[in-house]
Amino acid sequence: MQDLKRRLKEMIVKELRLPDIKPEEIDDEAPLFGEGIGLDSLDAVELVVLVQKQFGVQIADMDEGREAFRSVQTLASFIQQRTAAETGS
Amino acid sequence: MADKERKKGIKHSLELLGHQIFYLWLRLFGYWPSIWLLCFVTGCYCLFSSEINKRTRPYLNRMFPGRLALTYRWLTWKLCRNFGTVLVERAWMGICSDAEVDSDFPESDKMFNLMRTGRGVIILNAHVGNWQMALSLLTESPVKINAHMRYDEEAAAKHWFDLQDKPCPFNIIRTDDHFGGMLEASAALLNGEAIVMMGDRWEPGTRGVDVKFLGDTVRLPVSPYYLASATGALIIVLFSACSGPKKYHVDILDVMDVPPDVKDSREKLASCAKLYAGHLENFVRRYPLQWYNFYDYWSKENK
Repeated sequence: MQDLKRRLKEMIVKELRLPDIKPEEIDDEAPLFGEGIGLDSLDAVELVVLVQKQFGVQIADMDEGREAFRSVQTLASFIQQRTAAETGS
Repeated sequence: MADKERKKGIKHSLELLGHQIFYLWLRLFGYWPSIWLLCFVTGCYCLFSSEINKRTRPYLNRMFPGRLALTYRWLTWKLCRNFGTVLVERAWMGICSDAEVDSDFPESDKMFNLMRTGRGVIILNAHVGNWQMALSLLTESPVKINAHMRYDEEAAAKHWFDLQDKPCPFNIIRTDDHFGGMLEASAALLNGEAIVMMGDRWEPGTRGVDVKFLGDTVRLPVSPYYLASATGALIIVLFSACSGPKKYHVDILDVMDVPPDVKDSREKLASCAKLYAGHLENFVRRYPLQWYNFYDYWSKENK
């Protein structure tokens, strides 16, 4: 899980081009959108695409998806649960 | 503040009542008496309201420069009547089981074939012509249709899908949620679905670019081009014009295949928006009284 969160933080900083933030400065629980890291709705587009491409996880349920994209912690949990479910099946 | 809220509440209630009376009139008397009533109501409105005339003037000045004040009032009435006709027809389609419109969409197969590629499709529309009815054409689509829109269940003026007894034939992605609907939109496109979006109204606080439209600068949203670039979806620029009573003609103006690097360049996003603005300008020059953005489109407040 820690490794996953680290990867997510590096991905967010690099792919969303946030030059003023270092990955290690992102708090696990900080809101990704609005206050906190301050991503906007188009950054959400990028994140959805990146999560699918890099982790093979699609958002099928929007309620689940909205909760997943709240913070790095929730996103990591979401990815871990989905990949575990797919491996298990 | 409480007084302001009370007045707003009263205004909304009166709007609701007015619309309910109108829907009853439509059910009892049908299409043409509703259009005659519309002509009368819009006539009074345009004659006595300085507000509506003020709202349409920036557009009318550019499309019909140097006319008399009375001519602008007449043109304002025509704009309002045409817009009202769109609303009457969408209500009529929802309420009357025998409602039928004559639609001419010669390139529908092209659109459906593009949808079948599985890449996801953004159908980029505008507040012109008969955009409401263009949605009704998509019920035959081979993929799931989503409408990215501002949707108020409490609104007085109902959509046709709210007025019929059947479930809504497409999924609504609301623009007023936390992510502006972009989370759902991107997931839908990655799933090969289609999304209908408007490309002509920029919302403050969102990303936009300035382009020329009818000779002056306006700000347009970049979200359609960003979405297409990020997800690999195609953009179909599609406008629907009213070509007569209960008749409309739908055209595909362009199909944009937006490369992945476009989303990282403001200039490239602006090029996409400029292309769209060009199509929009060609449309309104052909149908000048089917423009339904009733505000100063070029105002600094909209930038």
